[in-house]
Parts: sequence; C-alpha cells; structure tokens
Amino acid sequence: MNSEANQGHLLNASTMAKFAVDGFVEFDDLVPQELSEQVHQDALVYPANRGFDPNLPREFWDSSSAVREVFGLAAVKGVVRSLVGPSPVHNHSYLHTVPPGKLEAQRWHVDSALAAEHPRRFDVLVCFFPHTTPAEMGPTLVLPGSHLRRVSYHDVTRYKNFRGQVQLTGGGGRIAFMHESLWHCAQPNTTNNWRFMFKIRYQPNVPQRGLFDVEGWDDPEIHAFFNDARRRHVWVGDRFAAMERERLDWWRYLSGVS
Amino acid sequence: MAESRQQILILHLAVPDMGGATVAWALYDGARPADEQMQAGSQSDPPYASVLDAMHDGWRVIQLPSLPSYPRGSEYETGPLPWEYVLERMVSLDSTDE
Repeated sequence: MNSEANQGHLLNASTMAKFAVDGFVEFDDLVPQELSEQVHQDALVYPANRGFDPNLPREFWDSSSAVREVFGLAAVKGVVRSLVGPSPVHNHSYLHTVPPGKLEAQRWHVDSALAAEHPRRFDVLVCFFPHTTPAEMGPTLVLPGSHLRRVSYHDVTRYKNFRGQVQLTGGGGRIAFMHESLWHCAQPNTTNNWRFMFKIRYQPNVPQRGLFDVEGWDDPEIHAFFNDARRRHVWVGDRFAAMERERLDWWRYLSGVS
Repeated sequence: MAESRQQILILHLAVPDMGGATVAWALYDGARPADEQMQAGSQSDPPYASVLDAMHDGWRVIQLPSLPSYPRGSEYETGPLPWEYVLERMVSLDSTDE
C-alpha cells in the first residue's frame, strides 16, 4: 500500500476505513531498507527462541537501537497516533520467531479477552517484518474482518481454514497495524532461515475518536467500500448484516460524529 | 479384523441450510498422528462445497447447530461462526485415504 501517512502522518479516511473493515492495514514504504536490514541483523544476533519473559517486557526493544529508530519515524508514529492517539502506552513488545524447519502452524487466536467496549476501545498491535517473508517462511496469517466478532483469546483454535484468510507475505520493512481482536497465527517455516517479526502492543490513553484525518469520512466511496466487504469477507456468511451495523456504529464513533 | 479410527470433519456454512456454501473447515483425523493433522492456513479451498456434498461422499452428520434466538439488545452481537456442522466417518487403519 502506498502511504499517505508519509505526507501528513495521519491516516486519511479511506485508509482508516480499510482498518475498520479488515481490522488491519499494512504499509511497505514507511521504513528505509537500510534500517530494516539493521533490525534484521540485530535479530540474528539476539538470543533466539527463549520465549517471552513478563519481567522483561521490552527486551529486544532495549537491545536494538535500530528497532527503536523504526518506531521513532514520523510516518510510523503518525499511523500509531491515528489509531490510539497521542502518548500511547508501550504495554510490551517481543521479537517473535519461527525457527527454520518448524513445520507446525500456530493455532488461530486473538491477543485479547473481550473488552467491554469492543470494538471501540482497542489496543493496536504493530507488527514489523524486517526481512522478506515468502509463504514458505512462516508469515503471519490473518482473517480480514474477524476483529468485529466477540471472541476471547483461544476460542478460535478449533478452526483451521477459512475462505478469505490471508498470509502477510512480502518484502522486508513492512509494518502491519492490527486491531487487538483480529484473528491471526504464525505459519510453518520450511526454509533454513529464521523468520522474525517484532511486535509492539500500544494501549490508548484517550478515547479513540477523531484521531485520524477525518475529511471525507462520509463520502460515497467510503460507504461503497464498506458495502464491498460483504463480497470480500465470504467467511462471514449470513451474519454480514449484524457486522455491517456494528461497523457503521464504530465508524461514526471513530470519525468523531457519535 | 482391521482396527478403525474416527475422523471428525467440521464444516462451517454461510447459512443454516445444509446445502449452503462452506466458508470454514477443519479435519481432526484419529487415524493420523498429531504431527500430520490439518494445519491452520494449509488450504485455501474447502474439501466439500457443503455439508450435503460431504454426505454424498459418505460422511455422517453427528451435530447440527441450533437455530438462533435473539435476546433484545443483543440482536447485532456476533461471536464464533454460527453454522457449525460436525461430521464423522470411521476408517480402518490400513486404508486411510483422507
């Protein structure tokens, strides 16, 4: 996706609408290639696969000045601000890995319990992919639109495959910004190389309304895009009407008009 | 006499009609070890277009989803996929073909 965030730093209405519909937006042009490569080098020398330590909730962040530089970029901060507002809390961060030859997929899950104000009050999960990640290397798998469903952490582990599931494959330097309720999981890695993905969870300090560039929020193009979700999110089936109403209510709130 | 094992196929349909389109699916195969089970994200197309299609291939339906009720005030709540059908078939250990 080409990024208008590079100019005004705040997301425009059409990109924010994509976040509202799909539960995530992904950019491939926010981070300079050299910086991505430095993060990759830092990941390669970082002690691998030792698991998340809750007593060290930002260990890779503290060890890599390059990754801190990524999240200090004005374009990146602009997207974060559009979603969770100014001065969000860096709840925790972690260098996620899929070792070479790991042939078991992670189970589908969400990274949250049910928030009382779902989907209006949400943390954002920012996933940075420092190197090229093809399908065979264990990219993150997501189900677009699933963030609007009311489920908790591991409720969705029984599921295996959905029509419309999407692997976040692509070049190095990509960043995906996800709603905390988006269903996702890591994929098998059949290559001989480690797959890295650095993820920060940001919590808002303000109500999440009117934070993006809301000009054009009610344009016909926005509503046409919303209506097209019925065709794109086949897995929703006949529950599309309930989800459309939920999304429209949320969109008016996000846009600061209700 | 060959030993047999249960296979469980879960099909999620777009509508309650058992001929409705499959939108999600999972297979749990009692005849295969844990490291040979269906993986998340392993398939982009369902094994059967509908529950009826699977029945034509010999699968037995062992659970139908209840039709919904809508308590006032929660008509627009959505959670897990509602139209979940559970099917089974028994296979002999020397002729697993799924």
